[in-house]
Amino acid sequence: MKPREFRGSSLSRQMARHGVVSFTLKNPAESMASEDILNAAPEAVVRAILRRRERLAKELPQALQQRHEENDRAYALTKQAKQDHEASLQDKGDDNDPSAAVYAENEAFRRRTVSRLWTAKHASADTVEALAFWKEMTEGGWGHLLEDAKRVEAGGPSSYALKKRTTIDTEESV
Amino acid sequence: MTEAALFSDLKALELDEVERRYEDILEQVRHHEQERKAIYAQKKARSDVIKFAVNKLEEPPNLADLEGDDQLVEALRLKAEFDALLHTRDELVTRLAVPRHRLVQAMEEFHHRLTVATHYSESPSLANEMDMFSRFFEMQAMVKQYDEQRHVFADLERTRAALLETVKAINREDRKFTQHLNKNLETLRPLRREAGRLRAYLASLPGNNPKPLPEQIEEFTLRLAAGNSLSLEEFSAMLQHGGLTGLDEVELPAPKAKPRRKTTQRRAEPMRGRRRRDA
Repeated sequence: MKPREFRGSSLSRQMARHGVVSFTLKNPAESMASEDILNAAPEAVVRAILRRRERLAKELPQALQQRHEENDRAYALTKQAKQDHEASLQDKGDDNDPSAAVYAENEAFRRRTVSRLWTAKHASADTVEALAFWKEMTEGGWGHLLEDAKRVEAGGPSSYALKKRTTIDTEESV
Repeated sequence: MTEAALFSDLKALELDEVERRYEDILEQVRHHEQERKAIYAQKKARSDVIKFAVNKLEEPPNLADLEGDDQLVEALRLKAEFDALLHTRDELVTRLAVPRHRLVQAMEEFHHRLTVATHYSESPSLANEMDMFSRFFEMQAMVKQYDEQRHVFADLERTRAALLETVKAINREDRKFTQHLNKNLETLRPLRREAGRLRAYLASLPGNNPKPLPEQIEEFTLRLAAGNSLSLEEFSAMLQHGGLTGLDEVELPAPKAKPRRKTTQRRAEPMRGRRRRDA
């Protein structure tokens, strides 16, 4: 008997998923159940942030290098396309020349690479700053970050309640 | 019925015997009237307690006269406990402002964003990290507060259920009082009739001035005192004139019809099968 041919999307739902790889599998979340999250200590969270930042710091120089190379390539392409377009304009005086489209495309690509380069540069600078900050925090200097938590523990209002009260007061005064 | 037929059985009796009978019946009437008053007072107390339990009365009723009624005392105790727990719960909710399940969700999200490595373009900035770190531990403290006060929520639910059951029981008991009241009225009515007959007979004898019958407590007064409602007819009966039910009898002058203005111009509008009235 000829086996039934798999057709359409309905059958795929019945099939086991093979080879479906989530991109997050590369960087899995640190396994932490809800109960653990509720009991997480500041030291543990600071250490986890540091581990993430250190991993990012290792990856960033290579990414920055790639973005630089990409930007250089885009700049050269745009420069060449611009020269070709200007030459074409002088020769033919036609704005609808194909070189105009090439120039516009390369210019758009250059702008995108500049944006990506700045993102990488900012991330790199932020990572350096963050590493210094969180390393300092490992020595227990997070007190100023836990002011709200301490107020709640002492029976005071949460920052959400304070914000809500301020909003209500503002609305009432208006 | 003639007067002779009405008093035929009494004429055969001695005057002292008739007076003694009259006194006995008066005593019974007084006793039943007192009982009726007591039942109405209890009904009113029950009505007030139920109203107070469902927040229709602001002040708790005074139960000094009904010390023996454990059900009413228990209902008032439960209401006070319920109000106190409600106040504690409201205070906690106002102080924390965010429900527990939302806090746990947000904490999981913040923890994920703080600790899981992502692409550098999606990574939170240092300022965001500091904010999330601070909020994460504030939310952790809030969840702990909720957990510490968990008994408040459980007690509130338990007290609410108990109060509801007590109110239902009081309501059930109230029906029994209504039955007692009807029975009391059924007994009282022939007694009053007999007392009236004896009094009339004694008054008809020369030189006799019998005691008057105890005044009948008005049904409306008792019902109003018990917190019950009255019908429109009963309200009308309480008024000398001008009751709401008497409104139908008043003939109001018919309003004069407005003289129709005769249109001089022909109206230009589609008639859709109707006849033109001024045509």
